Amino acid sequence: MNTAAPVVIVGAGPAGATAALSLAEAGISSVLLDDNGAAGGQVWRTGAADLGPPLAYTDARGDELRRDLKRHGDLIDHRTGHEVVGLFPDLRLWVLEGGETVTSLHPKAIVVATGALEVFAPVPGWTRPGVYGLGGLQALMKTSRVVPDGPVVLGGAGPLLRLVAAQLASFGAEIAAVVDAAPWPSSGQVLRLASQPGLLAKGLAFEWGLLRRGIPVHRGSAIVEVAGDEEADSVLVAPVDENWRPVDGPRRRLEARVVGLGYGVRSNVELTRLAGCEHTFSASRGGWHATRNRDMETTVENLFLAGDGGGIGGVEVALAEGVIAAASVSERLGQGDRLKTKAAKARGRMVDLVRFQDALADWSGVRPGILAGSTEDTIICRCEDVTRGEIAAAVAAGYTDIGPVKMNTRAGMGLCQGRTCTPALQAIMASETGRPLAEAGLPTSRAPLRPVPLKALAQLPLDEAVE
Amino acid sequence: MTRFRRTTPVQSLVSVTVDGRAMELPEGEVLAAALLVGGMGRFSDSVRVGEPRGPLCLMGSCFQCVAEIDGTPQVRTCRTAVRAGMTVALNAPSSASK
Amino acid sequence: MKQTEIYDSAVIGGGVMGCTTALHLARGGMRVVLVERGGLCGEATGRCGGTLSLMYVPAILVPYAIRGRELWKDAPRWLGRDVGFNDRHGLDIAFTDADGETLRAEMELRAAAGAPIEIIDGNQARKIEPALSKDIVAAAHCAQDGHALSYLSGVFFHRALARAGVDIRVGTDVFGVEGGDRGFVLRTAKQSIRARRIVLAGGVWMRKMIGWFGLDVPIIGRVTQETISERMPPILASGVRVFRDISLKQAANGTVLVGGGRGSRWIEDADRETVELDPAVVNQVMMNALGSARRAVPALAVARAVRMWTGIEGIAPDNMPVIGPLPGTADVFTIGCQRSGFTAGPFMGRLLADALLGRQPEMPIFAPAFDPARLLSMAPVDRERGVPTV
Ligand SMILES: Cc1cc2nc3c(=O)[nH]c(=O)nc-3n(C[C@H](O)[C@H](O)[C@H](O)COP(=O)(O)OP(=O)(O)OC[C@H]3O[C@@H](n4cnc5c(N)ncnc54)[C@H](O)[C@@H]3O)c2cc1C
Ligand SMILES: Cc1cc2nc3c(=O)[nH]c(=O)nc-3n(C[C@H](O)[C@H](O)[C@H](O)COP(=O)(O)OP(=O)(O)OC[C@H]3O[C@@H](n4cnc5c(N)ncnc54)[C@H](O)[C@@H]3O)c2cc1C
Ligand code: FES
Repeated sequence: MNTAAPVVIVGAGPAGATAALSLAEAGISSVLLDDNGAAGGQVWRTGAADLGPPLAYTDARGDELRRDLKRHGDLIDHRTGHEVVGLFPDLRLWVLEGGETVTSLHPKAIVVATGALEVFAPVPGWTRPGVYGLGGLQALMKTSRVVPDGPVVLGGAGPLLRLVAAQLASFGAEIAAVVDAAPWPSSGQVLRLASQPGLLAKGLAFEWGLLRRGIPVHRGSAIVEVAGDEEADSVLVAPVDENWRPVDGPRRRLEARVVGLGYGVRSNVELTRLAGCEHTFSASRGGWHATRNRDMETTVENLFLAGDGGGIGGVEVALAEGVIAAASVSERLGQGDRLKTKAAKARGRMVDLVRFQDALADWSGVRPGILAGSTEDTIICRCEDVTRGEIAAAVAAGYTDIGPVKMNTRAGMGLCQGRTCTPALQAIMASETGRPLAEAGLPTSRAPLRPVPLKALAQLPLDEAVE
Repeated sequence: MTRFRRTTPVQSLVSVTVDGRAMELPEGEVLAAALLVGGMGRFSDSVRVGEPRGPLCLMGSCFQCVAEIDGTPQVRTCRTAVRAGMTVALNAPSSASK
Repeated sequence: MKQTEIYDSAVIGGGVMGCTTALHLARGGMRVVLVERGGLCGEATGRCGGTLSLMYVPAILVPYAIRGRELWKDAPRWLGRDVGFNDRHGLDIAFTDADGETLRAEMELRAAAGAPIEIIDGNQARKIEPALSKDIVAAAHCAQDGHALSYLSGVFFHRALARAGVDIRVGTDVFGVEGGDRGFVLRTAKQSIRARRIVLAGGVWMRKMIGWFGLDVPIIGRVTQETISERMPPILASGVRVFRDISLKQAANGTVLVGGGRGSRWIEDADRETVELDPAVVNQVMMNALGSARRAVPALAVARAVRMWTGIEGIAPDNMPVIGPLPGTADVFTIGCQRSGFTAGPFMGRLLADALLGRQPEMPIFAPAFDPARLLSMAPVDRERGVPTV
């Protein structure tokens, strides 16, 4: 095991793995940490065992990536099942292995490439077993080839909605309906999406896949309730306006053995928050993310950030940013500019990709009415069982900053540390105070990010020798 | 009620104890996936209201899929691989106390 | 209330000290505004461990701590809500004979001041708390101990204060106070606030607040850390302290809280240094604390830590509270900087309110030992030697 690497990369998705591979090309060794059993990240997630034929609508680049990482094993120390639970402004990392042991690393430079998290919009009944994230249903297919048995209703917005529907259908799952909060894209939006013909074609392929199988797509609609005895057995679908607020109109109840929910994705900011990086809000990039300069460096020196963790851009952007971050790290370490041309090319590609992303966000990005389906009694924080009414009451009492609201309601203070409820919490605060979403603020994150055995922290050895 | 099915043949099964019951689950499989296919949906009870909960994100983020595994409370089943002889307790009191 | 109207009292700082003072002033008939820049009890009070103990305080504060603890027990009556009060035995344990001797000497002073503390040996300690390590050589035992859920205090104070008619201004940072012909004017980021009387209850920010009146006092900040575990089966039935090191307790919901840890720091400027706390030190202190926790209660080795945080309290060089009239400006009072201030807080606030309302306080509150004026001639804290503990 190579512990003399000067660089640690967190996240072995497209961005992180590409950064590691680019560094290897320049002869620089790195430690690549990821909590999964295999590299690939969200988009190229895979299971351990032999899974048979590939999943529909995926490409072979994940396998290629994993082969490349193996090939560069002399320079890339890829540690699977390693979860980073602490990242501090002095570039120290705490790494949890197998939920049992913790090591401390202290490299010269870090590339954070931790990707995105799914955004949930709580509605009555969304806490019932039988309700899953769209990404969760996808993960079951990707790692285990496990699919829902019985009618499935998928609701939400964003590209994942149709992709997951098409993938599930290709495995023979019975998709009863796709409920999309976004309306048909306008002609202007389509035109701008066409700036990336390849990506637009992909989207159309999912759409065609659904059409061909006769799967109904309810546009401009949302799931406003999940009902069932103990576990989910039906959903209520209502029409919504262009801001996703439910409006009058026919409501229908659809039988559903499995419900998939997801309203797009947002950057996973827990590490950059912990490290003390400056963050900014950008609606077209999925909300809050750390700010970076064009070399992908955050406001913390020698802490770089690539991929969806720095604002949602999708897989192609993640790949480009991985290269750019690697080039910057190489230069910073005084290892010359061998990656300069590669980085310049990547920068060129990004311009168009970002335009596509803007168009996508314009069509299906999160709208202010995202919470309108919830009621007073809807549980927002699933870890501590905090309702929308309790949060609203705290805001009404004068708690207009997210920190005091968390402390006073316990929302976001449970086991998941707010990873699930933060967007909803921010949206409630915005709607209750009448301020823009961007002013609702971002909660602080605290180490350890996951439960860590006391004995592991108590015995934390001195930093593993990282040069 | 089973809500999930597996679309590929299982390579090798191992014995696991789930809530005191012996089960044969695919070795190395994501435990949450294996339990879902096995017909389990309710993994834990929420801490304040005590209502049933099950996996949500299946990517290690939400902690709604936790179970007591080999005596360790609140382990994420979606981040745990099936091992021969493991003991799993869903709705374990330690994960569900007030 | 219209902006031109004048409050009888403005309390600046909404921790336990400010909240209880404001509550009792309002119940005594005053028109009161409570101004807090964050949320109620969001600093030391909400971050603290919530231990209600007589074993930490300087001996002369023991009677005050006893009453404070009783008030937390009695919270449903005066606060309207039970703040998760847990009646427990307390144990302060020592691993070496030398520590055992210092422990005995300190605890005898507290016992003489009225705390029901006795010195016992390791076996007796383990009889009371079977989870304790075999390596303990001596312990102090106090039948009056326990904890309350300090993080809930802000919500409960909020309700009680609103009901008592206190004008609560959270999210309102006070920048300074000016004296005027019609009382004082508080300058805030929002509108100005007028009041005849000022109570400074700023915790570690007390030094800055006193500075508004042209005085400099050697109050310093001490950083303390807390680490909380996930919910666990019952392990600990009493409040356990490792002498001059950490405190350990398990709440009713099963979470174990580890507070303290060797190597914690003094800071001069709480505004600046909280954001600049050296992570290497913070982490080291946490590791030290968890190491001690494990040593004291071996069964905690399997516990999993889910979160760690820091809090800062204000400390005077003699480790005594800063309560009383501010020298130089009439009608300005301070309350805070009290060791184990969560324990005694509800009582101190009530005493100050009584004094300001012209009632006879149950125990002396404008005492020379608490007098802010004493600080003007006091040398700063010697960081090496720390402050006196009893
Ligand atoms: C649930 C979900 C499903 C998605 N599915 C698709 C899809 O099918 N197709 C598509 O084009 N896009 C998908 N996306 C969008 C996806 O974000 C991008 O396509 C792309 O994967 C971004 O690449 P990345 O390298 O930035 O991040 P990711 O691919 O997300 O990789 C980040 C990696 O970091 C790991 N990680 C995170 N935190 C830590 C930590 N603390 N310690 C260790 N490792 C950590 C993660 O487990 C992950 O493996 C999905 C996003 C989400 C959230
Ligand atoms: C981590 C930790 C653990 C502790 N554990 C215990 C324990 O277990 N038991 C115990 O008895 N004691 C404990 N203590 C001590 C106890 O918490 C304090 O003594 C007590 O809470 C102090 O209360 P306070 O009201 O004086 O200060 P604080 O609670 O700090 O309140 C001061 C308030 O003033 C506000 N403020 C500051 N400046 C301004 C301004 N310019 N304008 C408006 N508002 C302002 C602040 O925002 C703050 O809310 C602990 C302390 C810490 C830090
Ligand atoms: S299902 Fe979300 S953490 Fe396992």
